Amino acid sequence: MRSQDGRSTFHHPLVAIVDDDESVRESLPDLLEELAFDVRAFPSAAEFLVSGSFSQTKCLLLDIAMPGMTGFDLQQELKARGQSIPIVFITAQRDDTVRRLALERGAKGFLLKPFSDTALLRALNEALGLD
Amino acid sequence: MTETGNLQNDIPRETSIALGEASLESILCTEELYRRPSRPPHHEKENRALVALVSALADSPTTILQALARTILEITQADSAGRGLLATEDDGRPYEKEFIRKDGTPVVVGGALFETGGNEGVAFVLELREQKRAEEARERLRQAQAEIEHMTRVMTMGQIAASIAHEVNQPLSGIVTNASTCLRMLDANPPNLEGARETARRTIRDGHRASEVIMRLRALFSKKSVSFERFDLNEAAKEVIALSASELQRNRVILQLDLAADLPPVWGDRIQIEQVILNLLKNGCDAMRNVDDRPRELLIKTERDEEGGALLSVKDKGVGVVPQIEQKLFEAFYTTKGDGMGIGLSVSRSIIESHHGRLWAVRNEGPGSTFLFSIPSSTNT
Repeated sequence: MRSQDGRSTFHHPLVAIVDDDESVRESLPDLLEELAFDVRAFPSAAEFLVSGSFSQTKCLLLDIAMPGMTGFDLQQELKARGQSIPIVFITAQRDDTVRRLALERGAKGFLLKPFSDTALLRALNEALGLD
Repeated sequence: MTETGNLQNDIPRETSIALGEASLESILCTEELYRRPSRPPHHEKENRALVALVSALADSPTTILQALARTILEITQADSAGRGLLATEDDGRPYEKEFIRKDGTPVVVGGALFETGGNEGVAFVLELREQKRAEEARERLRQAQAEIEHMTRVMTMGQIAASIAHEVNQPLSGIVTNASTCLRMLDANPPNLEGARETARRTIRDGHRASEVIMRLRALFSKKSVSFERFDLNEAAKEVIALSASELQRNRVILQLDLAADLPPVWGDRIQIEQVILNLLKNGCDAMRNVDDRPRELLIKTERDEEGGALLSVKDKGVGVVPQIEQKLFEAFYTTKGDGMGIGLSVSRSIIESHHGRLWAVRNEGPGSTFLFSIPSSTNT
């Protein structure tokens, strides 16, 4: 499924996906690759934290409601560790207060599932400062 | 006019409406009003049995008052029932007054408008004697509960719709993402045909998933006549879990299953039992809504009980139930939640009782509560 290698990481920024939903981890990476990003997907915040890929990760697509460490918890933890990876939250929760909270806490974007590929691209470009 | 116990016969015929005929809204509204009493109950320890509804749908509150006045004059010792005796409160809160019936026993007559400034309302008569268990009154309540049970499936359309929405959101999101990817792969130079096929296959698969979930949820929520059959309680539990997976996930609930391998098959209406399991599951989930300092664990366990039947328990790690309201939880319409009508547990209990089983709750040693029900196995009915 993945297209061939031989691309420089500069032109294909690494996006990390953290979502406990298997269907998201199945479908989103392929879309991101079509949008010319490199992708790594993690089923939990804890796994992302132990992966040690902070320095290369240019943007984090983060689910909010996850058992154990939530998306907000991970955002907090990254801040505590001095990591400033731009975060775009992805969630099915249609709650305005959640959206407001996320943006207040410094999220660079907030997408409601299901989201279109153009909305995703727009959010990523904004978060990466590529617009 | 009879002097003996049967209050139902005392109500003047033209003003009395059997609970089965009374508009369901009036029943529900009355119970709604009783959940928010405007004043401390007169008799906190006594059972207040709703014996009769004298429902008056009118284009003026006067009709309600007239129905009440007639009722008061005919069944109580009051010899006048002027307007001043029973003026309804302006803000639509229920007004009730205690009278003495002709046989000397106390009775409460009252009325309320459904909404301030509205015209529709309800008048009611309450029996105050704690021991009173008029068979007709219980029968009326049972009929009303059956109606309400049906209405629960219909009246809480909002909740049903939300449930379905939650469960199909996941496959729908998959569809949008996969199809978007498919189009881009076809637009690539050269087109990525294998990728397009794979994403199209996933899209179709997710479409089927969504359709199946909707079908199974509709089956779960539809009203049908009760039909008993032999079934496996473990399978029923798994079905309910599969149909609430997304909502549990959304609420970060960690589900643990401990299903007995030697569980005897049970005899009952599978859909009804699944509704009870769903009710307990949702309650457990709600109980942990504000829990953040510990994992939101929900344990569903089945086991053989002492009488050889099947026992299912749902244990949460929520805030628990204060002892004083433990019993009230099962009372019709009692609820601590702002939304629904709190009918769930009361209806669940009557479903279980109609299966010759029991439904009860216990406090956990740690945080939270456990709700349990047992129903006889199909061999000993």
